[in-house]
Amino acid sequence: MLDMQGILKEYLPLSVYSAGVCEKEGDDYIEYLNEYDFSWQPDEIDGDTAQIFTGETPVIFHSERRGRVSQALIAKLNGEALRLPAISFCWGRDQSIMMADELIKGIFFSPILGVTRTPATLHDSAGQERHGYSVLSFHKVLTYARAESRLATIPVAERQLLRIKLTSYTSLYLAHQSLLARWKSMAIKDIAYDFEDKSLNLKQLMQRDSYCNHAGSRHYTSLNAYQNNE
Amino acid sequence: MVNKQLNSICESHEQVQQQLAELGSYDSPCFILITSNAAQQSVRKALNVGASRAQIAISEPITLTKDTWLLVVNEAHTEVKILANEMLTLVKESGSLIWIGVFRHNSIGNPQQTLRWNVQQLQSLIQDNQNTSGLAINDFTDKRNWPGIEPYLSNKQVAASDQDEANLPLESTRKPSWLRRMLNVFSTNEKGNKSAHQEGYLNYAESVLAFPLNEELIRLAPFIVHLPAGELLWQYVLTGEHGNTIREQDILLDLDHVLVSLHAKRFAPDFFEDICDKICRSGFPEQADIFDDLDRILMPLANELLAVDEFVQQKRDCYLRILDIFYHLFDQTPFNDDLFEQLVEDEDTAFLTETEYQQRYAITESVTDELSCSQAQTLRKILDGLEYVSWLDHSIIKKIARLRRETRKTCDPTGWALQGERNEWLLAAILLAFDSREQVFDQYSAALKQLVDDHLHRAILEDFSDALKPSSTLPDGVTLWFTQFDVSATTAQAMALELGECLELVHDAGAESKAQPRYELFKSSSDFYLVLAICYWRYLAEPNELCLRVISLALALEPQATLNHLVQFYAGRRAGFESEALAQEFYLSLKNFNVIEEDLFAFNARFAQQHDSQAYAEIITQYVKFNANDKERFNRGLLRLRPHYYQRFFTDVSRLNPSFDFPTAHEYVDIFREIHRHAQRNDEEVLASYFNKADVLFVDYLEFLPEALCLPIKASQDTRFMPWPCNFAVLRLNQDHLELVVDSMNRPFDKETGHLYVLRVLILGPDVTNEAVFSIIDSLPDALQRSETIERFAVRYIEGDIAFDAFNTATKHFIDRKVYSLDIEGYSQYVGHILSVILTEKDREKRLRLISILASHPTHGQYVLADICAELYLDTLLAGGAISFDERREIEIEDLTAQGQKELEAFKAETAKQLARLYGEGEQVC
Repeated sequence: MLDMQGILKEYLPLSVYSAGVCEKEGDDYIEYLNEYDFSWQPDEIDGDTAQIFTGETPVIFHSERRGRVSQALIAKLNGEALRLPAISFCWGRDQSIMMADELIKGIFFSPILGVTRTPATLHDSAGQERHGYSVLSFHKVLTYARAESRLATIPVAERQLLRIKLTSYTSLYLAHQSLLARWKSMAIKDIAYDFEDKSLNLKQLMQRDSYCNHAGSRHYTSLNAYQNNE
Repeated sequence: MVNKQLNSICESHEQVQQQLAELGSYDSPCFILITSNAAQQSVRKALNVGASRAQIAISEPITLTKDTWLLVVNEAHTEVKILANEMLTLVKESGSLIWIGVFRHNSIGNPQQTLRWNVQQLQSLIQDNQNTSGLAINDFTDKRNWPGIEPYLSNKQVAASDQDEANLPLESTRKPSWLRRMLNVFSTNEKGNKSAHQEGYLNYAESVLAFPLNEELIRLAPFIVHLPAGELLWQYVLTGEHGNTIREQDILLDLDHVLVSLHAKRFAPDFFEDICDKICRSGFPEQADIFDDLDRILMPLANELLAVDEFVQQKRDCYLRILDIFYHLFDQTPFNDDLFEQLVEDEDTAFLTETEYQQRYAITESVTDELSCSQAQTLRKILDGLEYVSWLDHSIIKKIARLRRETRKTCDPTGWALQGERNEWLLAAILLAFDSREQVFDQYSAALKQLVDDHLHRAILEDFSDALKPSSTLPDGVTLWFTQFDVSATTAQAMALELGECLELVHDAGAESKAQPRYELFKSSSDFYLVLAICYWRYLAEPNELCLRVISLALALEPQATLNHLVQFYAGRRAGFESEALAQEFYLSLKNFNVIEEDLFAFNARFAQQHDSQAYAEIITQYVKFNANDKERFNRGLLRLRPHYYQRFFTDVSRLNPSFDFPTAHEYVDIFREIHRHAQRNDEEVLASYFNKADVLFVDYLEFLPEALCLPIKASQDTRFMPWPCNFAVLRLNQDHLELVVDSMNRPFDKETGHLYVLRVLILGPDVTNEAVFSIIDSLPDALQRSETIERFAVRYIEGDIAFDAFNTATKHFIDRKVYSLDIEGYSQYVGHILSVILTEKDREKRLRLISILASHPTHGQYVLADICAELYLDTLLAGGAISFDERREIEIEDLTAQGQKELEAFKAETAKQLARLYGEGEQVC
């Protein structure tokens, strides 16, 4: 971040894209996928839907469009597995991030950060059971001052992702440049790598009434294009 | 007959679970649990009769056991009450016992939880009434009679089966004393080393603590002991030992490696339960949520350790050391305001100076020219809070003062990231007032003053301009008045008269008032209140003619709204003054603005009425002693209050002075107008009232049409239009289709698509002829005419010019008497209440006539009558000296002795007899 002098100057926002697929068929448009297909929820327990997870037991997730296994989508996929994003958010206040295991291989978090990792099984919108994902829950939100003072002596490898407080109600995720570089080399396209300067001024972001960890939505005109990540 | 397994039965009953699962996020039905030793058939019959009397449809009850049933009813509280009471009466009359628990589910709550509470309610009811029948109702929509849910919240949310087995009473249960638990532990061989460890640190605590070990500390002990270096921390908590070691070795600092909820869940289940109970959100308690509610979570501990006794100092020190641990667990984040107040400001618990608190619980960040991170966050929070000026109270002033004491940099507007918003100018004005009070004037004070003065004038003109009637402009005289401050200027009262002609009025029902016009400018959501607050604080900082004029004008336009807004900076939210000193400060500040004596008197009366019963009694006594001229003068001020307040005041005056003439008795006309605005039937309901119930198949919103009536619609050549624009249609069932009998001229039926565009429909049975419908429509007065008829006949009846029968005949089709109640939903805040008129009416016959209207519905009326009679009866107790004035304000019917209840029943029966005489043998209401 441009206005930070300590360790935070080595970090950039983690800003995640959502996806939508709307394909023209004849005179109609068919929406095969939207952002809610990639926002994850566990089953309700006693009327509550958990937003944060403790890592004690694996959890099964459905997309937020649960119960709507799309026959049209299944038919269109024609046996192919639906491409899932490598990074997406769980339903809630952005406390939990769903990640493909390969992205966080070898990543450990200092206990100061208050992060738990929970193995996840996903039931996607095509009705398929998917493995190889984990949920990172960030139980704590640190002020930038706290992060700079407490994490300065912590190895970078143990502080690759941070959740930083902006206001009483908003926070942003910061990813270390080395992590972003690694993900970029893995051709992970679900996140933003380039930012305007105003998005890199932490104190200015703290003055805003709202902040979104989402980079926006990528619209695909065909399911094929989405599957090929074109 | 208490069934301890009822929770388990409900949890495993498929039908019950399905019913709960079907509830949507807007559904708030009543759960009704019934236990009876009557035969199932008799119970079913009683249910049907009750439903018929309440005029509602009910589903088949779910059989839980041979003597217990569950019914889910989605109806208003009056109907549910009728259903339950009728059932109770019928089964009792048959000689059987029945217990009925009614619990309304709140749509934002958890249905499983509501059902568990319903079970708890029923079990308690049976336990308390083992040989008699009983009825318990917990319905939050019945505001007058809602008992709250405190007894249910204080019970732990244990698993249902545990609750059944434990058969927990209503009061919150705590585990047995530590001694008993220790004895229990020793009697169980399986616990082994864990018990020995637990015994070890508790025994140690017993031996070193300077005061008796208490339950709260025992519950917290395993949480502390199992922290990193927990044994050392435990010793530190108990005695203060190893404080230096703990700091030097960063033991406290490294507590930020621990997640509080996970740690508690793993090692201190009792404390984890305490956390879950207190957290406002459901689900796994999150770190930030625990932190926000830390004062509530630690409240039982604080109650023990901050109690003043011979060990006060040792206990306080122990408490501080526990807070040290939590402070570090939460990353040295400044505690919430409640904890700060507990330690520094609350006169019952405080024992630290602010400096001591800052030294212990405020992290010293590097000294720079800027606000620290946490100070910037606090400033941001304050600015956000100031945006909602109508929601403010004295706590915002305390927050601002505290931040200002922490660092002078708070007063530097260049560090605020200014957005050009009014909340920033308000903060500047408040800080400037603090500076002025302390006689501080430096470059920051100058900057604050400039920030306010650069924007205030424009904001004032903007707000007044925005509040004008459409097509009006701000008179030049007003603009000049805010700009040129001649000595011979117009007074605020004269300016209010001129401006009042142009200001937009509130158009809510009843808002038109000669004594106090209601302006949009002073509606609770108005932005003007920010400007008013800025002017107030700016004036306190330094007398300023512009601000004085704004406030004086506001006081002339709507004095009570203005005073209510200003007092909030000195009072708690919906509470009285925070202290006597603050009250004095407030009244001293008002001297700057020459508040008219009558307005100040009215304000004091209203404020004391709500917050200070002793002062209120004194004000009433003072008023009673006024001569006629003074009464008239002060009445002018009182009548500028909302009717609810001045009516209550006059009612209380007449309670202490029975010869007092209620000055607003004539307002019953306006009051009944408002009551009938709610009770008046719309066109299609009036039409429906002319037909037998069997011939009225449906009258409601089209979207609620039952499936059986979702049939094709056909118009015919006989179809007529309503004579005036409307939003309903009349149809008749004709075998396999619905025939359009009456159409809407402004939303006509589309013959091509077969689509109706109206909102509501009346569907009549096949035997109803067109002629029958048309003859009613031909003579049907429109809504305005019906309203006038109702008012005309109501007044004539109440004044004794006509009998009830005449009133009923003229209006029975126009009014839905089920709506009559002392608590009508959506009732205008600008109209008085009929109860005050009834209670103060000296003419007994007239009073009876007033009551007779409200109690005229055959089934609902008895509940209204019961409420009115209760109030009248309590007033007779006051008049007879059986209760004091203060007791009259607080007493509820449940507080009456058995003798009192009997007298009340007799009074009600006698009143009912008198009403029957008034009703006579005339036509039934419909």
